[in-house]
Amino acid sequence: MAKLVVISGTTDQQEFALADEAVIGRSRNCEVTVSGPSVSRRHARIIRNGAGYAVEDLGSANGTRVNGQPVQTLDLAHGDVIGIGHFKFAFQLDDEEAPAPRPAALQTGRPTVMAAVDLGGTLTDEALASPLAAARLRMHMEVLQEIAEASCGALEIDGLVRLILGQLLRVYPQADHAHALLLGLREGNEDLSLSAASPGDDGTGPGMSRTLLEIALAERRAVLAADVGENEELSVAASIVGHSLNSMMCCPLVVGSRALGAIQVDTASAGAPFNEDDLQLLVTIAGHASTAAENARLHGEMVAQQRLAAVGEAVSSVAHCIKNVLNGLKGGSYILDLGIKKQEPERISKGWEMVKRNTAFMSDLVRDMLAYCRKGGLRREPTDVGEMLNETVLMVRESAAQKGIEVSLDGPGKPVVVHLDAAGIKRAVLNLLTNAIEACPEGSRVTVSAGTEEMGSLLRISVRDDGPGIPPDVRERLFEAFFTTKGSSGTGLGLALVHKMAEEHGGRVELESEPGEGAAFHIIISTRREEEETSVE
Amino acid sequence: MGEGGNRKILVVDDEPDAIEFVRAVMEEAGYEVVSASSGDEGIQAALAERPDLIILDVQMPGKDGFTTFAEMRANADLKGIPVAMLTGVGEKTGIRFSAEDMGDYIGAEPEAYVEKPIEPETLVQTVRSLLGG
Repeated sequence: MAKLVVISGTTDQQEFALADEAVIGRSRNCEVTVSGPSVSRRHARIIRNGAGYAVEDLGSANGTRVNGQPVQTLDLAHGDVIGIGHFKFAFQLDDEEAPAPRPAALQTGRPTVMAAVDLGGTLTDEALASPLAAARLRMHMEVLQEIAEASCGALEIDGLVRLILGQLLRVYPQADHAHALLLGLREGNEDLSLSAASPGDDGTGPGMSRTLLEIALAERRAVLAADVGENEELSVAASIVGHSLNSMMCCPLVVGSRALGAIQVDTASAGAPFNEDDLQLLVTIAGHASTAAENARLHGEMVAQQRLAAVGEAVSSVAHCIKNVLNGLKGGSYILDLGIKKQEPERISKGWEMVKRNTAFMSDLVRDMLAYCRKGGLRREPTDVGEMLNETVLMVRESAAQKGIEVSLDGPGKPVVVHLDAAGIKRAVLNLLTNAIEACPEGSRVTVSAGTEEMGSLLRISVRDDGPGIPPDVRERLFEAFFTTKGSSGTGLGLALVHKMAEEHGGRVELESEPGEGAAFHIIISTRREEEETSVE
Repeated sequence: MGEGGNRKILVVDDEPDAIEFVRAVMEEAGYEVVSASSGDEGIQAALAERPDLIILDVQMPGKDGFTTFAEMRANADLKGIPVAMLTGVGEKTGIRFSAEDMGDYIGAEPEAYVEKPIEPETLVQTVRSLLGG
């Protein structure tokens, strides 16, 4: 089983399970649907090949990256980060042999500590000298390498913990259970507590030993202990042959001076209790697990903060807009009052105009915000594109002429009727027009044109101007909601709405511009009537 | 000094409505008002008109209020003119320059901040206190 975990970008799901083939792209037919201006309809796919998976770019416009490097086809390793547009996904391979974890139950038996090891302890010269030591060391290295590789790409805490529990059961073949406790990681500062049992276990074994946990955390040392389990009447000697002797190890997870939690393994196999070598290995595993857990936690925080920051920016943008509108309303009322008081009709008129203008802006802002937040629901009807564009141009031609700017319509040559949301597309074209008119100096020309492409399957509406053009750093952010270069008179939603409208029609927006060479915005949508999208590449 | 002994105020704001509002309020209070719609225009106008006070908007496209303010303070002819910043947030939005960068000039910060939406009384009192009557 493999999956993609979203680590950057806003999507409907946090995780996507991968079957034999998963296509990633803007189209709703994709297994992984993500929407954004830099994502192609069918951008890339992940396919199973043999025992593993590979990613393949499907001729996307902006390419596919793995760990930052552009790739065409690449075999994937656990933890690889796949970049598509501004989205990033972590590829994760679940260990199929690891049994499903369940919440750990703490039990309160009283274990007898038999050995303890300092965290980060070093091997003594004597330990290194024995031939047995060499073999053990090699095994330790292999195990650690496995764990390090597996956990270094894991950015999501639950998956990471399950991974570590699985590794513990593998590394200690005699282990019956592995437990992990991470303090305060759940909502409301609850602890994250998971257990895993070896295959064949009936799941009724003891949970994590609370007492051992407390000893280990208090002493900040790994401890090895034994207890008589549930049958307290048996003495230790007698129960060696019996089945209620538990051998357990517990090691705290520590980062710097902070205890993150602990890991524990236990076994009821009388013939193979844990020994000090096992304990030493646990210390090293815990070291890696601590770092990986801390990393995952910090990453989660960072992602959450980024989301909050984006919301914060949007809210502050809206508040700023509203403050300016209020200022205009107040100003208008003040001037209106003065005009009435002094019986000056011109002033009355001016004040009233200000009030009307700002009220209209407020109304526009609210409409834009609602339109932007609206989920779906286009009203498509057969629309004569030429007529629609003509009406749109008429709305702005006069006020543009007053600014010395000529607005003209070019085409379509013959009548073109397309099934689209006329009000929505009109709004989008209007937004592009007003942007162009605002940005261009006197004497400029703005041209709206329309035509079909790809044998009539695509409609392209373009708004072109010969104004100052758009610099690359602005181009990147242009379609972001609330991003505006107009200071206090822009809502920052105009282009975001154009983008949204195009996408909802199964199409896209394109921009061509260089500073000094004007700008051309293209809205490209499908002309087909069905819900199913056609190939818009 | 404006004509007839009136103090002259320069308003710099990209919003025409904001300029009209300030103009109406300040003219009512007996001041002469000239205006500019951008940071660059504002600096030109200040050099040409030599106002007694400048009311400067923080958020303008292109050159914003603080950059304009910094340039005014760096200009020998303009640095003595008191400035009231018009701001859309409840607290100062932060100064992005320091005394070391700017060399010898009067004051590291605008003399006053006025919040938008503007309260006519507050604006008049602020201007009066900066110009001494």
